Amino acid sequence: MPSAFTGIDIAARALRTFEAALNVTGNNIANVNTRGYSRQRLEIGQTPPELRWTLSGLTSFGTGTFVNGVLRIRDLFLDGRYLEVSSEAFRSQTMRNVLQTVEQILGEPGANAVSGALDAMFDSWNNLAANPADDGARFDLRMKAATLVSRIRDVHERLVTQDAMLRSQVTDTIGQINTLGRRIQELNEEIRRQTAAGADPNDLLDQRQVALDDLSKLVNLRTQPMQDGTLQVFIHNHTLVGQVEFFPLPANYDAATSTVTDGVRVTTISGGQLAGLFGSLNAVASYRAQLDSFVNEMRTQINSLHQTGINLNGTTGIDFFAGTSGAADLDLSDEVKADPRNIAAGASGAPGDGSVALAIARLREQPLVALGGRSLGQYYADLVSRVGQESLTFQQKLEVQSSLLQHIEQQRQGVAGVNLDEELSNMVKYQRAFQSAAKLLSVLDQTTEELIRAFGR
Amino acid sequence: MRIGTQQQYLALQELITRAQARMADLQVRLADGKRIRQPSDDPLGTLDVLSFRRAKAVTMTHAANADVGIRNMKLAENALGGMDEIVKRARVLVTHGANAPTTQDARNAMAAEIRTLRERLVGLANSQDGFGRYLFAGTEVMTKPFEEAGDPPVLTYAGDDGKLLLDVGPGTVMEGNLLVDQQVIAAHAALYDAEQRLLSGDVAGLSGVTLQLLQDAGTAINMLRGEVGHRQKQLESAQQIAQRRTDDFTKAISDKEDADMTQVVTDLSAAQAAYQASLASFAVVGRLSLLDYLR
Repeated sequence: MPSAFTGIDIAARALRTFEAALNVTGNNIANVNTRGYSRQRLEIGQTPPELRWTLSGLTSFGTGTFVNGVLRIRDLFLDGRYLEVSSEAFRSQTMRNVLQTVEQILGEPGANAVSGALDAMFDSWNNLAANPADDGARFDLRMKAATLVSRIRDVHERLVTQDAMLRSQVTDTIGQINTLGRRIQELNEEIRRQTAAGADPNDLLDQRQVALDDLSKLVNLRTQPMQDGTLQVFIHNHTLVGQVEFFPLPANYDAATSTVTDGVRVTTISGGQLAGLFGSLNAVASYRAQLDSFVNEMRTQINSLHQTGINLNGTTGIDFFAGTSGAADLDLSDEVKADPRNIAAGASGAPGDGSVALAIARLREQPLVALGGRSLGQYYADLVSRVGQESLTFQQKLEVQSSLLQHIEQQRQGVAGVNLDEELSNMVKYQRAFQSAAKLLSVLDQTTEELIRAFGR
Repeated sequence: MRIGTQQQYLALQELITRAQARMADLQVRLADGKRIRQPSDDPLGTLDVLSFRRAKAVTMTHAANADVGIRNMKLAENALGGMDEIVKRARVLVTHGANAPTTQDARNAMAAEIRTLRERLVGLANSQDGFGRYLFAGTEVMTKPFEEAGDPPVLTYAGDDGKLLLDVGPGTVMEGNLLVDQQVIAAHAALYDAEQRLLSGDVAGLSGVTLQLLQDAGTAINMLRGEVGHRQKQLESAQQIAQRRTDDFTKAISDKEDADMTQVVTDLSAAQAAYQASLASFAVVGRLSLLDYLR
């Protein structure tokens, strides 16, 4: 025989279940704007039935509901895809940002950039060739050459600063990677503990996913979920987070090969901000080398011609430009800075001889072997175009990857995101169920009361 | 497809941000009129712009060089014209002096005028440009090229045979100065000869040797004037070509670098419409909620 209070038990369990369901719904609504939050659903199960003998034999009677757990709704495949595409997108974004900065440093095709200053200097050499006895032409040339030196030095120094900033960012990024790695390891510990106790560590899983999302922006990574709820994280051949331990990413790096090393093992960095920074360092180093080649050749060619000339003070063998190593020490020679009459326009020393100035002016269009058969202007223009092309390439890559990342995020949100209309309808659904269970309890209370009253006389 | 509420707002925000960015970009283009503001806007176009600018700078120097040459030729022509007049006047005087009825007093006066003409010839041979540079000194432009010294006076040349070379076109080099020392010295000698023969009353010599010397000097000066005229025309032609090429390059640069303003204005209108649409969609979606239909 069933107990007289079986129905009351069923109603009570239903009330507790729907109250829990309303709480889960409320939690979803409360976290609608929480980053990384995965919507949750109350898993409602049936309690085991009661078997009773009836006139038709053994019959199964339901006994109500129970809370079977709180399910975190998540698509692990989409999470994996997100990590992969995020690394690629943030590598491109870092490269794009740095290359855009380099474009700003070059300032081309603006009229006041190096190309314009180079043309202006050659214009002045030409003017001196046509007016070799003119002191004004020498003053003008010295001023235009000083402007060119200033522009080149400015580009060089800003590229050096950019290089230093990138190196600082590399150190910061490795630090951030290790901070996130340690955080994931701590979350792993707590998740393992709660999972072992039979709990659903949904909030911790969300926090770990947020940390992984952030980590994927910094570096390429691969994950391996374990039975105990923990997650191993690998960066190429480096285990950042093991099942129980955290192994920091070494801070020694070689940007040229895009690797980090602890002295024994070499780990290749192929994605995320760190790979972008390594790529940017290589790009900036390459641009600096190209700028240095340009400067060295300009200085060598102009000096070698200028040395053959005799200036208005009767001296010869004077350099026009000073310095020996690329753009870093490019300057006008002390003699030229001291007195523009030290500029040699001709080979004979006669004030009307502009032959040397003419030869230097003709350098503007002269193909130079050291520059691969290009003139000075062409070589620099190629550098500018190369920067533009690489910047555009990463911009286009970023657009494609961002669009893909956005698409994946939409899919993730489609699965895991909270929809307020859906939650409101669930709220109404659970509210009605709660009201019905309460009504059931009220009805059972009345029938029990009548029974007690009948037998109590 | 299931949509998360956060995703819905993020997507709308993204739409609005993109529309704003597009509008801002077009507004800048409209303001500065440039299609290429940085190399990545069009890397190959940037290469073309820099190449055209370089070529334009070169053609502008060609035009400027031609201008220097033209200026020098004009000054040379003025001086040579003066020398030609001197020789012509000397020939007239010598012709009169060679006539038998002419008195010696008259010949003496003619000799005095010829001396003056000789001094003017030397003065013209030492012509300077507006910057104090001697026109006919080769490259020794700061040295007075012609000095008369001795008795009998001999004209010596202190300049050199250096040439002022000017690039006035691709592979086209022209001389921007003129060497006149031999012609001037010959004219000077002819004038001195005329002066001496007038003073001595050497009628035969005047009508024979002196007139021939003056004739030769005049011919030589006129040949120089012809050379100057020829060079001036060539320089003017080179300058015109350089100016046309400069104009061509200016247009080529503009075609590559400058924005098509009609297109920009049209694009801006379209971007404005897209921006308004994104704002409107945000307003519509933001207003809709099941909450409004529940009691």
